[in-house]
Amino acid sequence: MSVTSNRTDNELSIKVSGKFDFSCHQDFRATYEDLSDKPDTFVVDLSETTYLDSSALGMLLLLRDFAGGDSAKVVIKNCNTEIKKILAISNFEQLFDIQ
Amino acid sequence: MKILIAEDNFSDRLILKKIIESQGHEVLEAEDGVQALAACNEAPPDLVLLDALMPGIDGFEVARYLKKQYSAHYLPIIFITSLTDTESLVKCIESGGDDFFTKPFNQVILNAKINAFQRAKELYHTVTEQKNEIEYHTQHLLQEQRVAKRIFDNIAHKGALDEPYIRYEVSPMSVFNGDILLAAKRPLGGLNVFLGDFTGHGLAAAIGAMPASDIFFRMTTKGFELYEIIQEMNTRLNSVLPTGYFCCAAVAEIDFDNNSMKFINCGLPDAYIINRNTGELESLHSTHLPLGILDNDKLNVQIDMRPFKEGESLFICSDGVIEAEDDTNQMFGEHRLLEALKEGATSGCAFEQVHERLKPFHRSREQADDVTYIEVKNHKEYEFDVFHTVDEVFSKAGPSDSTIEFSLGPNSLRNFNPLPVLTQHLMSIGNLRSYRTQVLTILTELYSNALEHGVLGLNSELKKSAHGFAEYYRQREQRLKSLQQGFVNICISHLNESHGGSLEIIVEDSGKGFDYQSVKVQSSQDGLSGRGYPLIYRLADSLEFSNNGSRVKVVFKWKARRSTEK
Repeated sequence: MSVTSNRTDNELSIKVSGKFDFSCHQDFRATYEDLSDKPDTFVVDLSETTYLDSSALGMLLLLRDFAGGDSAKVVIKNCNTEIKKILAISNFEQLFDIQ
Repeated sequence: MKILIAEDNFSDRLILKKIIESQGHEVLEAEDGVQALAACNEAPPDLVLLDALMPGIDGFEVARYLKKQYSAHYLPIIFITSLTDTESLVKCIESGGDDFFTKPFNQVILNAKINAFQRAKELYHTVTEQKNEIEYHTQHLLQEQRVAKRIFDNIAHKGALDEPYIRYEVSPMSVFNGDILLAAKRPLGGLNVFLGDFTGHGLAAAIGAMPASDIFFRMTTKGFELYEIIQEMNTRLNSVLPTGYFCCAAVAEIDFDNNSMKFINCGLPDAYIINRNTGELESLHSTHLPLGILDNDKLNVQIDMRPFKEGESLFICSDGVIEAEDDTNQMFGEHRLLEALKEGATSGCAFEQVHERLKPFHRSREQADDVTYIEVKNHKEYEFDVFHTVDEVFSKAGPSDSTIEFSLGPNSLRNFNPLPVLTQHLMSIGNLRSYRTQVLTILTELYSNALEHGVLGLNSELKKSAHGFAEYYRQREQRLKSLQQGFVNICISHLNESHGGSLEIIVEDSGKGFDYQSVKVQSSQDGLSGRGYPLIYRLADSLEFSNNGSRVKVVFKWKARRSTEK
């Protein structure tokens, strides 16, 4: 498991590799919490994520909250089929831009 | 530190003693192995300097004994030896020595070694203390959890889960369970089932489960509609659960009498309708976000109304079933679940098949999810007591001659269900409670007739086919949404009589009315009218229509039961 992030002018990209579960909790939060200015868009890149559990869904909701709740722009991209399915079961496409 | 020197040579012992004492340590002396063991038995030292070759019991044997005897302590042993060949040194270590110190003595080296063991000793102490503390807290916590679990079990109790037409499995991964499975009989007959999977498991999940089950049981017994129960749960969970915590759930309201079901899946894996006659499965997908994330406006609860025919059963599971792993880290997976359900479908034992095939997938794993699944069967071999007898017998308490009137305009008809409020009032009437199922049935039928056929003008013929069934409820929702005018008036008066009482219910609607003469004919043939009047004929003492059928008056009389009155 590793969480890396990359900041450009108005976008923060967060990449989670390996298992996205509770063990990522601290690292995931740390990528956005201490930013001096909030970016417009948050991108969560799951291209290297192998597994995602319900606590990860919870972390995504926390990020969405931080990013402004209903007005948040959070993109989840590069999900593999399994992960896409988990997100679909939870109907997260209603809350996130899943690409 | 207290250091024992076991050395048979007097001058060596003296030199060692001087070196050690100069560093401020306390010294115990032993001249041979026997004395060394005796000294240790009296008060174990912090460190032993042990001569390998001594008369009687030699150092190797002393070391072996001490290590065995004080295995739970930290008792380091440094061998003092003039032997320098590898074989002898290996023997020192093998017999339990932690280090060795060769003659002639070098003061600097000895002090360094003693200091190193002192640091190790302190570390050991810290770790031991922490370990004890953790053990104490763990014990304490487990005890608290056991007590809390008892409270939790009382609230999230079994309800109707032990009914013969229900099979279920709940396997807790920790003292508390992140899954909750609830079933309760509805006052009109039929059943409400709730399977919820909270984020994580343990204490946080259990705390969320408590209001959920409380709402479920209370609202079900009061006769609330499924969407009202879901909305109430969602609101409560949304307000008590912190962001990031939520509850995936599938909920069903099953009406065995009408062979129909209301269903909603909020974030759980597919549920299934299993048809025993054809062996076919139908998936019920998740259509909503989990509960506790958004408010009701945004969650936009849409209940799926569908037939639940005789011979069908409903299967719901948490994702723990699909994600259960065996010894080789293989997941049970959706395909195995489907195989099992299909295998058991025609014999009516889909549950048993899943149960059997899941057995190798119960590897206990710290992170593993809870495994919960349930099958509710609508099979004719199970007798459903529609009007299960109510045990309570009440004396003549509560109102004895009262009238309650309700007028509902378009807004109220859209957003408000008057039945729970009416029921609550009626059930406070002494001894009427024994007949609550009948009374509630009559009220429900009258109200839905007035609303659906009267105000909304829906055609009951639609409900006769599976497709029409869904269409009927689609139209109902659509017309209700755009309802601009219309009303339903309800007036209920009650009178106490010598051995019971009578209830007069008048329901009037703004609709065009209907051909009520034909209903009478049908009821005498015991045919099934879409309007539920035959049921009312059976339950009520009289049924009268007026105003072209848009006004109906029902009288229900009851006798007080005296059996348990003192």
